[in-house]
Amino acid sequence: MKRIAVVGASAAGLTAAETLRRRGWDGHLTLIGDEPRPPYDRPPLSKQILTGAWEPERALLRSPQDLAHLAADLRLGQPATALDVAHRRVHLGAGETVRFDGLVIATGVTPRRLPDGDLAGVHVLRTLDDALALRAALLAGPRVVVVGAGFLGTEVAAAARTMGLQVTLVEPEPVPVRRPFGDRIGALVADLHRAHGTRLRCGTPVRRLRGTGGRVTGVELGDGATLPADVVVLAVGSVPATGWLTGSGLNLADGVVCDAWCRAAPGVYAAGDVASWHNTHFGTRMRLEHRTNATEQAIAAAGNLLGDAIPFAPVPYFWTDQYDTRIQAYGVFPPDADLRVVSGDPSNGRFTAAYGHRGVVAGVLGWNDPRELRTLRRLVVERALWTTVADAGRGRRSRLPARRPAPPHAGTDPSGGTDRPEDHARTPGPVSPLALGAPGTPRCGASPSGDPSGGRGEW
Amino acid sequence: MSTISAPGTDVPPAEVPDYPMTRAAGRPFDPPPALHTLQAEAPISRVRLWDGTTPWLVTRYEDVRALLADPRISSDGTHPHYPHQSPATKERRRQSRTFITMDDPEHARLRRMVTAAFSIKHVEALRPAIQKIVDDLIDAMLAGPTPVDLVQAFALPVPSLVICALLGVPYADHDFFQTNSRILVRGTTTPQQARAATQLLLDYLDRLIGDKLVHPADDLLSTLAERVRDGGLSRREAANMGMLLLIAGHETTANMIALGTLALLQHPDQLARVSASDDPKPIASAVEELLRYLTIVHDGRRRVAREDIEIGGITIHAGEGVVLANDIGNRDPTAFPAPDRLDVDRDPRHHVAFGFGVHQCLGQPLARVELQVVYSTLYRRIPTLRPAVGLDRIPFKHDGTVYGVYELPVTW
Amino acid sequence: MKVIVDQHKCVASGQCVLTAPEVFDQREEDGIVVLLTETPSAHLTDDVRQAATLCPAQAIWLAEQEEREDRE
Repeated sequence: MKRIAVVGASAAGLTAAETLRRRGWDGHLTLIGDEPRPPYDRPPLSKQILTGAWEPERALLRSPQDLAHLAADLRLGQPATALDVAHRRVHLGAGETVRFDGLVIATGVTPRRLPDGDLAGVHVLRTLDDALALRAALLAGPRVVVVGAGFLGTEVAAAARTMGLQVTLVEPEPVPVRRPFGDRIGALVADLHRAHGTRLRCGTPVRRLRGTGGRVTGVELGDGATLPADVVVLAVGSVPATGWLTGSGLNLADGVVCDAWCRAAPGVYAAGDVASWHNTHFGTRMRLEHRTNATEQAIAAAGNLLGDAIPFAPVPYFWTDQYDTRIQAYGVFPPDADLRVVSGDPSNGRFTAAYGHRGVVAGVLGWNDPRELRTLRRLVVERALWTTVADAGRGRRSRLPARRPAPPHAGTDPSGGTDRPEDHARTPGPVSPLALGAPGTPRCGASPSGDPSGGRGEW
Repeated sequence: MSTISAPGTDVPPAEVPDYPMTRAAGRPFDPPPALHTLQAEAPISRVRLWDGTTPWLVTRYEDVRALLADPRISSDGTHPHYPHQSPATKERRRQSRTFITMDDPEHARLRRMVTAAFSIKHVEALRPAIQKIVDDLIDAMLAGPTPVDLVQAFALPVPSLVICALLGVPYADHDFFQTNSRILVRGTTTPQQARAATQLLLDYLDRLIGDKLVHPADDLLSTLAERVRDGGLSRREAANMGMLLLIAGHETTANMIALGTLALLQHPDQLARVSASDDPKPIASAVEELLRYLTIVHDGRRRVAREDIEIGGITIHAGEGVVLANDIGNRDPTAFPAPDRLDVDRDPRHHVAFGFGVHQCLGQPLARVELQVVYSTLYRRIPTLRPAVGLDRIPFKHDGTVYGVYELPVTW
Repeated sequence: MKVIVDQHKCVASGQCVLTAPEVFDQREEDGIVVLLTETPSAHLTDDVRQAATLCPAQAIWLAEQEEREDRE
């Protein structure tokens, strides 16, 4: 193989390129990126870059010397516009073409937007420039509405709140991070945000963005209320950046569809956020938007391009930092999984939990407890029987409440509970074994969605 | 890289990654991807160990080598900030102190009592005996059924027989000392289990040394017994040293034999170069490359700073723990071009698989000869040797302080 | 080129003997380095340099390097 092109110059693309060199492949290497910046890291964007704790340069993944050492033809600021699989060519925006014998696709994802999302004051967060623009806006505007309470939305809310801003987090699901972690953990994340003074409006869809003179003024919710805002952050998910692959003949059902070896077509591999592949460890297809996976999958895809023929079957790992809390997780977290606390106590802000699915441990989660979590990872690797966890938990009573009574100062009070985390953290709840889908789904906002006062836009 | 300052200096503790890290699935010969990332982005940075402490992790080859040879770095295992590998390791070291976790002059005094046995001349003299051990074990394997576990049938017996002969330990006791050694290098061992295994081994060696005092022979335990007799060594020190030599003498080499065989079987082009040659030079070079590529002591060399040390734009303060990651250091592209390629034709003799500095592995000349004999004989005698199961069915010692495979079913 | 060894620093790793057996040996009683010749012939220079590099205890010097460092 004489020529390899890597499209995408972020974590996955860079790692793929480096892996080829580390493995001693010395052919002609082209690394193509749509941004003019040298490769940089994305997790700090919603954390240290946003709060200003880091200078932007600190997010760079490699020094100029390291990049030079790669001996690659760097095409930065040149988005790929089309792929011709049959003739082995990538077309670039500038009208150039790059020939290849082997290709790694690592173009990542692009953020979803909402209608009216082009109003001034409305931000998304994917690139370093996005983060710097958002930081500038946060410094200028005190009222922030974050739409979407997934990982990105909750992290942005936490960062903005840490900067002392007035922050409201809006989410159509009943709790934050429900899709990855389910209702119980979502309720704890909701508590965490409330304890730090972030307001939550969950179970409420966004109807539209409001603005005057081309500038956003607020977010109108499904219940008719309008949240006034100087800055709106859209964190409503993302879509695989596969537009340039339309017409290439590759299967683009959800990202670039690959086999167990990250192969999309002969000589064409994909890695990182854009790649959907069959993970043989879990017997299921997945596409992960996690930093760790970007590196690991890029190593695997590049290795397989060089002939390794090793299925990529990792136990996924991801983490999120919110305020002073770190949540880490190994494995997968299907919506219909059972959940059990394995160690610690959720009301003390330190515990681990396991997710059971189809009779085995599918995932484990640690809340401020990296040490205990590491030992539990084994359960996922070995596909331990769920009964072993469930039985072990029988003797001890989980203290993660199935239904959490509304705290005394519900969310209708603008200052309610924001500076007294203990009011939430120590709320005694009824004790019951954990199971997702149990009746009494807790709400992230202390005020139930039907609370009439919640819709008056007074906050 | 100067644009990125090290985590740990100005970030909340949650940022500090756990160590050791996890290898990528399907890539059992490569260090954890997170170590590559650290080497490229934060080559000297804090990590969090099992006990919550946050020593420095050093990942670049030049830094690893420089610090291992730096007199301002201490190996003193009794230092309160010495970064122990596990609660079990900490317990074993408390109970049985050896020169590995001592500084000079104590270290030099004790080490020099046994260095003669590992001189190049002395281990070369053992080569025919090692060759016979290897040939006999292969004869037995060929006479037996397949598949067979290469670990039990070959990888473990070769170095065990050799170290038993060298020390004067009866090989008949191999089940006893192998079992207890395995407990001590396993990552999941509790301090209680470690204490019990250590005591059993110490009692055993003390008994043997007692015998040698009465019936000295031409072996290393007799040398130690002689030192006890002339007052140069306490009985306890002699037992500690005997235990160290017995464990280190078989456990590490056994893992190199099995894992190295598997690595070669997975790289047929490289195996062909090894088995095609009768010339000792390419074989010796292949041994060095496998040592570099596999670096089975994969959870770093542990040290503590005696003084403030400025390195790579970072100040390691006196009294801080330091972990020198020789596994990823041996995959540093600035020291080894295309480091992730197993290439038996390269010259990797500057690797740090045996460590560096005054604590560099005492038994390395012996290990080299054993591995040279094994690699030059096994594939010549059994050219169709192959794993009997897929790579995904082979249990790797991810949790151990020494990396390897628990078993390796092979056939031919 | 003149070779200097420090027997006090030596830890008997044997690396020098493996690399340049014409120049280095080990004492019978404890494996500590013995210099066979202080001024090895020119064709051994690379091996001796390699031995100095590989010596874990940094107990081997080449005098030509010493002089250069002194001048700096």
